[in-house]
Amino acid sequence: MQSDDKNGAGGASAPAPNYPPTPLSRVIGWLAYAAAVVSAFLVLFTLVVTGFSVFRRYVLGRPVTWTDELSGFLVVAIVMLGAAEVLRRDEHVSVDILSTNATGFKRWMLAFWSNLSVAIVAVVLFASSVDAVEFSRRIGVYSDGYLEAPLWIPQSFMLAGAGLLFLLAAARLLDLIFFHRGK
Amino acid sequence: MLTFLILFVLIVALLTGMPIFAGLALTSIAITVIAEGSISSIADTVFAKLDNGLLTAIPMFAFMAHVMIRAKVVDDLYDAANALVGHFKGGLGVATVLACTIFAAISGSSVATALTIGSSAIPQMKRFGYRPSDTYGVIAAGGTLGILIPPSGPLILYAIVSETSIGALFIAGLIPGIMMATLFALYCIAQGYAREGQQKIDWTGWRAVAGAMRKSVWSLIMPPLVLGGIYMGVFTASEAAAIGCIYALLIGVLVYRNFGLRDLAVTAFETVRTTSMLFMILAAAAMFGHAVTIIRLPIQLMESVTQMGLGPMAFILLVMFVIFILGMFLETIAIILITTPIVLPALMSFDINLIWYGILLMINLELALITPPVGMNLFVIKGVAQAPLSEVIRGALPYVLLMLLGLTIVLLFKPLALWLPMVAGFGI
Repeated sequence: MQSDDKNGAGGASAPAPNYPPTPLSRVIGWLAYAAAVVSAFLVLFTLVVTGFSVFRRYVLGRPVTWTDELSGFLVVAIVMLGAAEVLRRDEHVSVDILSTNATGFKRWMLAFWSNLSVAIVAVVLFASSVDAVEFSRRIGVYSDGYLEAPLWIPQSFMLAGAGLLFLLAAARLLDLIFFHRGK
Repeated sequence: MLTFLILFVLIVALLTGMPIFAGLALTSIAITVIAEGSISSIADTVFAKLDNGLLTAIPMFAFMAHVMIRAKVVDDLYDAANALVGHFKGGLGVATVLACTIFAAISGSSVATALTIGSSAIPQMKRFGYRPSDTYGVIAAGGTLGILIPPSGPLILYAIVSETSIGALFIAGLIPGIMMATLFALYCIAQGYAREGQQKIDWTGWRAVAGAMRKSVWSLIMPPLVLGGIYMGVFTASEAAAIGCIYALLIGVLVYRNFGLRDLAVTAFETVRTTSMLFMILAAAAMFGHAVTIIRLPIQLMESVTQMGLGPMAFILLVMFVIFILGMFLETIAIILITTPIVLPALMSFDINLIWYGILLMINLELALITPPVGMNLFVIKGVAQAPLSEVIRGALPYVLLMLLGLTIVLLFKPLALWLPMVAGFGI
């Protein structure tokens, strides 16, 4: 299953692709890229884990019980660690009827609004994740499957992902305010 | 009234161009803060939705498709389809539909299908005298089959949100998918008789057909390999996806010998981008589902429907109409994730089969891909062919009518969607 990404198709990007990044957003962009590289390794690891599970179940006839639970944690990590990189590449799907032909101040406003919305969502998710992680650590919440893993560990990926997403969106907002104003 | 107000605010927010996940999440945060006075439930909602082993099917099917495309395993599909049916009247159109159907069963993506098959089919069809608008129409429509024919990302997402069986939905999509492809092919043949300038390619004999088939045999094996296990109830969707990935890697490395470590890294990275993009919307949709449940929106909707005296069929028709209108403006994934949590309780109270509804939804979303002003496949074809959008839209219009016909047929004949999963032993 392939991504329905841009390919010149429209309808698939935040409206800020032609504003060049400044050193600040470039540095945060590298962090986002590094997180996505870790996420790519986790994709391969997920494939290995599921392949191992299939092998044990259908070839050896000895199914393993922990792979589904681990896969769930891996999904959380893959998504959250990749989210900022997708933003950096302007690949989060959006409806671009207004932004495609926008120029000048209108385009600047749409880009500003788009990054502001991401920053707000990221900061809310971050704050809420802090609560969730703190609660899980304080009470000692464990997953209810075979692994019985402390839940704060997989929940922490939400902190990392939301934090990176916020930093990148905030850096882009600063870029727009101080370097690309009125462009 | 509240339902329409929330949908209106959401659509206006999305039309400003913010990422769909941000629009959905912002609306949900606003509702949650007003209703609960706190944001503490948001992270739990997101985590509960994403912490699901079933979801691994999506990155793995994405990985499988990326490998097949990167290793150029699917490149010979169009030639094989051409060799088989290109010599009939309207045969190049039929070949395009056939190639789209098989490619959809490998890639699961409508846009990737339209893009890949379009690149081969457009020059060929034009060379044989097909009108540009006819050419663009069949590719735009053929590409939409990607979301109905399994494995389909939108079907998996619908299954997750509605808590229905992914395997049952995959199997349920087969007959309607083949029916839609047949309708498109029949239209191409009719067009072949109606248009004077359309030429056929020369029949090159069964030996040439066998040669073309041999070239694409590795991609032709993929759909039965992946779907066969699900149909027989042997594999779960995630396991089938893992087997598909291993198969794709083996073909790329051992048969085509053009898939190395660097390709593996690039493919894994592309998979991350696809997965994060999709699942951030899923996470936001979970927030949205939670928010509308807090304010009892689905229950209010159900009460309104009851007061209006609507029966199940009238309700389905109303929902399909709303989705058709939304499809003109919103992207398919967003429509699934916004509407399903709202209508699900009403569907269940009417005892409407959720597998059948899922297939109706997918056909309606196919329409969304070729209806202006926002129709992803229209833009893809415009981009590939460097053609005016108006010409692409004109070509796609007959297929809009064919899809409406297909939607009506599945609406009237439920077993088209439900017979195969029942035979396969899915208790629906």
